[in-house]
Formats: sequence, C-alpha cells, structure tokens
Amino acid sequence: MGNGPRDGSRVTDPQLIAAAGSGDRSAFEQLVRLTYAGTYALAWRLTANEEDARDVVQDAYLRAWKGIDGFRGDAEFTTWLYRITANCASSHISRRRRHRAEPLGEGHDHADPTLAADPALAADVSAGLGRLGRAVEALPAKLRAAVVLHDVYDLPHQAIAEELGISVTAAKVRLHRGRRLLREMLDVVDDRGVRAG
Amino acid sequence: MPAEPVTCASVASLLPAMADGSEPVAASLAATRHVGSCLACQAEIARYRRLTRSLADLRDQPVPIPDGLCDSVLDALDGRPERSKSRRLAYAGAVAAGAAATAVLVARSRRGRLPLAG
Repeated sequence: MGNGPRDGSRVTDPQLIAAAGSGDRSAFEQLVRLTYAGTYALAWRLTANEEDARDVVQDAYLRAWKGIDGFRGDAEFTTWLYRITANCASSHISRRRRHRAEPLGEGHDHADPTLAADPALAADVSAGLGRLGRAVEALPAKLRAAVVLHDVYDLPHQAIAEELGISVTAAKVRLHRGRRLLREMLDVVDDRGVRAG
Repeated sequence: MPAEPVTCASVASLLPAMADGSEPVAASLAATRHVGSCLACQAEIARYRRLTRSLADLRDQPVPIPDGLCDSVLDALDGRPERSKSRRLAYAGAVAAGAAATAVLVARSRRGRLPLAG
C-alpha cells in the first residue's frame, strides 16, 4: 500500500488531454498515471471497500478511454472523470446489493449501531477527520454517495442526480438525510467521551 | 383543527438543507419562523455548517492506494487480465496440481494396501 501521487485534481494540460482525445494511447496512459490515486480515493470513499474500489477504478478508466473523444473540456478533466467514477460506483453498488444482503438503504434513518456499540471503533475514530471519515464510511451506500459527491467533491446536485440516475430532489433528500445521520453518529461518539474537538 | 405547534424536533429534518442557505421544499412558514427565532436551531445549523466544511477537508486526506493499482488499470486498458487475477489463477493452478498429485499418491498407497487388508 502507498499513498500514490497527489490526487491529480490539477490535471489541466490541454495538450495531453487533446492528444488522448484524438486516440493517443500513451497520452491517455499518462493521464491514468496522473489521476489514478485521486480516482481510487473517490471510488474507495463511495464503496468503502478496497476490492470494490479497484473494480470501479478499472471500469471508470475503460469507460473514460471509450468516451474521451467526447470530452469537450468545458469542465476539469478530473471532474469529468469523477462523474464517470460516480456512475460506475453506483452501478457496482447496485449489482453488489443484488448478490449480498445490504440492509442499510435510503430509508434508513438511525445511526449505524456498529459505531454506537463498539467502543474500540469509537476510539479508533477519535481524531477529527479520521472520526468523520469513519462515520462517512458507515453511512448507507446511497446516502454516502450523495454526501461524498456533494460535500467532499463539490459536484452540483444536477450532476449527482444524472450520474446516480435519480431526480435532483432525490439527490438533495439523500444529501440532507446523510448529513443528519452523520450528525447523529458523531453525537453518539461524542456522548461516549471521545470528543476530539 | 388547530395546527400542530412547531418545535425544535419537528423542524430538525429541515436543518441540513437550511445549512446550505436553501429553503427546504417541506418547510412551512411557521417552521421557517421558528428556526429564525430559535437559538437552539440556529446553533444546530451552525453545527451542520461546520460539518460540511470538515467534509470538504476530507478530500485532502490521503487514502492508502493498493500496490499495483496503476499497472492493473493499464493492463485492463490493453485487454490483459489483471495481474493480481493472473497471480490468483497461477495459485489456483498450483493448488489444483498439488491436489491431483496427492490424489494419485493416495490411490497408489491404497492399491498397495489392498492385499494386506484381504
């Protein structure tokens, strides 16, 4: 395991992107090298699972390669890539849910009991952002996607709705439910005396 | 029939949206007035705002990247099987070969014992 290169959010070399868009495979591979760490970080935050995140990253780059000739440059390359990643993660999570029992759906409105009941886990998330990150991981997948894409990656509601295949209103509802659940989870941790400021 | 009184609990679900400065669709005029004049609700909105600022900071938190991830992406683009899958296949092949060899040895030893058993 390593931390890889920086998240690649400042990949703005228009020549590299244009070359990849015209079918230059080595240019696209260079874009992969510059961005894979950031793409994986997003996939991991959306899936909360290393193996799923790896699959999502591969799917995302395959789709990006197929679709890069349609990238017009009216958004950051990484924003475009992150939208593809979000879409791949959404599809992956839906497929996974069909195979595994995943009880925490959109309608779930109580804090994750594992975080509330496990003092070791609560202690583990005691450091500010680490604690918040663990709480985000514990959110139900649909709520987590809305929170991560909007509040962490700053995607607009419209883009989130398009990539998740839901209405803008539904995207907002999921975001607000997710925030509320996060507040409840963090309150639970605070009440156990592991407040980290 | 008189309307239900507006309380902090009854408007709690509206506060995450209000933290964005947006007016929730479900918010009634009475709810908006309550939040505007309630210090506890205002404090809760402030907590939601701190939460969203902290969430934005999460993006800069490093995530451990699996070894070989970049290579496996590049392999997939080339249509080659993922290297870790190749390793898994090689491992499964070795296990299968070992199991077959063991089965042959067991069968031979059983054949060798048959006359003694009779």
